[in-house]
Amino acid sequence: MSKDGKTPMLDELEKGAWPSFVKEIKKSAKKSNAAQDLLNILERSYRDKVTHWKHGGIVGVLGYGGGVIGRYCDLPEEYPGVAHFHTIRINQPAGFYYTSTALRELMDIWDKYGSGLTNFHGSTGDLVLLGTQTDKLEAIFAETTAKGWDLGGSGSCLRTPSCCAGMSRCEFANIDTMEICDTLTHKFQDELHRPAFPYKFKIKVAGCANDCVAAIARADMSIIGTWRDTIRIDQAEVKNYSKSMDIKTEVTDMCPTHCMNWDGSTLKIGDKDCNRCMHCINLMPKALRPGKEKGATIMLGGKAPIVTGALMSWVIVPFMKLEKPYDNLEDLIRKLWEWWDDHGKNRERIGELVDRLGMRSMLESTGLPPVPQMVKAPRSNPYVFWSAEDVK
Amino acid sequence: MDAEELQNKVYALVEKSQGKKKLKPKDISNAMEAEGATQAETKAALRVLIDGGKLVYSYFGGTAVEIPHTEGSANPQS
Ligand code: SF4
Ligand code: SF4
Repeated sequence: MSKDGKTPMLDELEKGAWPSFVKEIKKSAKKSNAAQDLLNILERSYRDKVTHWKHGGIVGVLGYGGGVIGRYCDLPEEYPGVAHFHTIRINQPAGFYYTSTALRELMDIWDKYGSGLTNFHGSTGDLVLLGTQTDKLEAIFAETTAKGWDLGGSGSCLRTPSCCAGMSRCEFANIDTMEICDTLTHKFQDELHRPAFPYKFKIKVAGCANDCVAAIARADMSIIGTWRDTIRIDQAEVKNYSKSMDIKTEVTDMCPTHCMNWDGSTLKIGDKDCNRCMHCINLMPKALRPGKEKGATIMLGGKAPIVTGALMSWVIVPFMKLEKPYDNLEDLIRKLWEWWDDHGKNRERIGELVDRLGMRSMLESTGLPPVPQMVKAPRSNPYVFWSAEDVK
Repeated sequence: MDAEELQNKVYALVEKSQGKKKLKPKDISNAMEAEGATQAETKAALRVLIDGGKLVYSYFGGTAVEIPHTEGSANPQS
């Protein structure tokens, strides 16, 4: 901040046609000292080329190990509005649906106790409230829980599960993502609020391989809706599409497994080779639909780069039937956690542990059978090796 | 070992480590396992101590369990 309180470098970020976080924080700064000092310290950081935040610590609410992320600035005398600037994660509703009443109630609480700044949503999925003080935490917790909200996860625990809108509004959904997400959230309350893992564990549920929640890139466990039988084809509708698009160029030639054929009058799909990528269905939704035998592919190990580089999750169960109360899924997750808990180093994600110990260790402890779909990088790293006991 | 005795042992372990080593919940349950408590029993003991406010979770990259204290990094509130 310059002496006159101006923020010339931040102001540059207001220019252009795109949304600007600076513009939004400035709106809040009219009624919040915390928001004003947030702008001031950010300008100062840009000038000093160093962060002025200290992160972590013991702040939280009684009984919970997650949901509050402690943050202090290192220049409290100069920027008292952000001397404390703790973040609160609120467990978002499955599918990110809110009523306007619920949002108003929540924002009233936040205006009363916090900076008024929010982030809809964090990369895990939580509704994030940005910037409050230690002595406000219990009051925020009490008032939000009284309205039916709960804190989300943070620290070495299960992070708030999230999902796409699924069957509530998407014709492509092969599984009831919202119900699965809600069920897992309730089953794993202890794991969410009482950190006991080597590091974080994220679960994301997508209704199909379009993966609108970026599960494959971001979740330690990705649950992706799919089908086991054959793609349903309406040949008359395929012909209709052929009047407005080049089916060979746009659809069949782009099929990643080259299992489709269009001869100008009939579309054929070799379903045995189809990897359920959704490409053809996305382009011709009136003509093609997923099969009728629906379930999910379970994948493991996705993560953003933190301690080590980014990983995409890979298949550990090609097809799992998912029906209420999802005990088969719960059982698998608990077995994976047990294995990770026994072998994982501090701050080692489960995908990194698979990389370190190999698939065999994980397969043996979960009882999953090795299948070809588990091969992540053909030729260079065949994942399943013979064990000494197998070789007589 | 009864539940109260286990809670006392867990507390004593955390107290002894305070300021020296940040104990993860798993470190505590492993140490208590060596004393004859199951992982589930230690988890239950930790729950009582955390819910009662005698111990708190902390986060410095990973989660640890500590005795409540004023953090070195904490600023006075304005
Ligand atoms: S992931 Fe699939 S089912 Fe979910 S919203 Fe996206 S397209 Fe629809
Ligand atoms: S879903 Fe993908 S792999 Fe299967 S037929 Fe369509 S484009 Fe090919």
